[in-house]
Amino acid sequence: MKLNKSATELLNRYMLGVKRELGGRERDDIAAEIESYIYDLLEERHPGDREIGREELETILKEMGSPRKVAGQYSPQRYLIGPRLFPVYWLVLRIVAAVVAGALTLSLVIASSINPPADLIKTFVEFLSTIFDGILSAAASITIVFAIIERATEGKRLEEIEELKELKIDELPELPEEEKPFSLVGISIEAALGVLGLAFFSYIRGTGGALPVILNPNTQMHMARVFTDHYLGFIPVILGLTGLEVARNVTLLVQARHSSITNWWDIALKAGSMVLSGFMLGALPLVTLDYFQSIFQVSDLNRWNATANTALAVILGLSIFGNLIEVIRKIVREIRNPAY
Amino acid sequence: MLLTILCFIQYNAVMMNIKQNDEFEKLKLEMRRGAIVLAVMSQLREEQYGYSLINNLNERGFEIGQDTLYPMLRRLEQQGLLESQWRVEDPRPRRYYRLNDAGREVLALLTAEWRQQEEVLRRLINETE
Repeated sequence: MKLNKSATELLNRYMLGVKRELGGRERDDIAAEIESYIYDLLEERHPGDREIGREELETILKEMGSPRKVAGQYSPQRYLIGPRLFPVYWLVLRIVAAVVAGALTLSLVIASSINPPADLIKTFVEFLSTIFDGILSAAASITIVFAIIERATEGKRLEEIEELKELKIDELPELPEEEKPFSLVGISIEAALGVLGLAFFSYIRGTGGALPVILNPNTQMHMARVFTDHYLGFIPVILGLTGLEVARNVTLLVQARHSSITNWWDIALKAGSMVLSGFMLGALPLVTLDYFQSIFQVSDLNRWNATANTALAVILGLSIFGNLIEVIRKIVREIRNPAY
Repeated sequence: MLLTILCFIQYNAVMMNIKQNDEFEKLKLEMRRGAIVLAVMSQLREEQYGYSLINNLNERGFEIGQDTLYPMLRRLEQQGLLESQWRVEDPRPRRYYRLNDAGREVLALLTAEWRQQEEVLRRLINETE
């Protein structure tokens, strides 16, 4: 059997393509075997002494596929991070992502308390962008480190990894807290309070932070302020967070159990509340006692206003601290012992 | 309207059938994967080159392509179970493979394991039928 000139040229070009895709010491050997297979195939399909043309060869080469495909079958499967390291990689990635998000949130809260931002929405969007960039950079760095470990330790036994494969009864996860009986009544009350909150803050927004003063049903009603303009600026965010909380409670009622999504939803809401409290702390005064003044005729209103705002600052500070502890606790629990 | 509904039902039936066939093909491939090494090694008690081995297996009902066989032969050789040599015969060079002593021992062990598993599976399948 003999190939004509055109077919020979095509075969040489194909084999050159295969050799370029193959690597390592056995490149020529593998290529020779592939070429031998092609000849065997041609011989079987076109027996006799007839000269083989380009078309006959082309049919066979098309069946075999591109040089890259043929050569690729000889390469070992490549992973960026293989199944041996992946569970550890995934654990480290989640921990680092949570730490980065927590640290950035905390730094924003502190910065907002010291130096209140002029534009709340712009600052919040920048905050989200910073968190995204931070987590992405951390994830990229961890991925590179693990990819290097994967290649440097290929085929080697890693004691640290082997240890993770052993069963240690003490380290088995506790059943998630949320697996304890689901309180339908409690969630329903929370949802109802959330709806009342939405109605209240929508009303306050409409009245410019004032409530009606009714001293005598026979006399004319008038309005008196409870919240300052600073506070009114926060109401859209408060409404948004309350709306999300109501939606979470409704989701819980529908699925009748706590899940990973509702738990992370809760963490995000608590983190959002923490950031909001930070902004509010930097925007005092938020409340005014005009309302009480119109009822009780309080003397020295300015002093009482200052006292009320100081008390509010303490409450906001405690709220930030409480939410921070809660967010950290819930993130750690969700990472170590995730709901499903 | 009725025609649309009928077309919709027919379309869904065809798509479901395609999906089932795809799933079956995947499972079949997975099941065969473990048996390929045994099938190939069983034919290499006597010397053979790649193409003759493919034909041999295909003729006996065990379908295998060059894309699976050649890389496997190379892996088995690297594992020290096969030996190979290039020989020029009629008039082109071909690479001939055969089991070495270690390969024959492993083949015997794999065959015993296969028979045992076959027996276990037969019992399991008969129990459920």
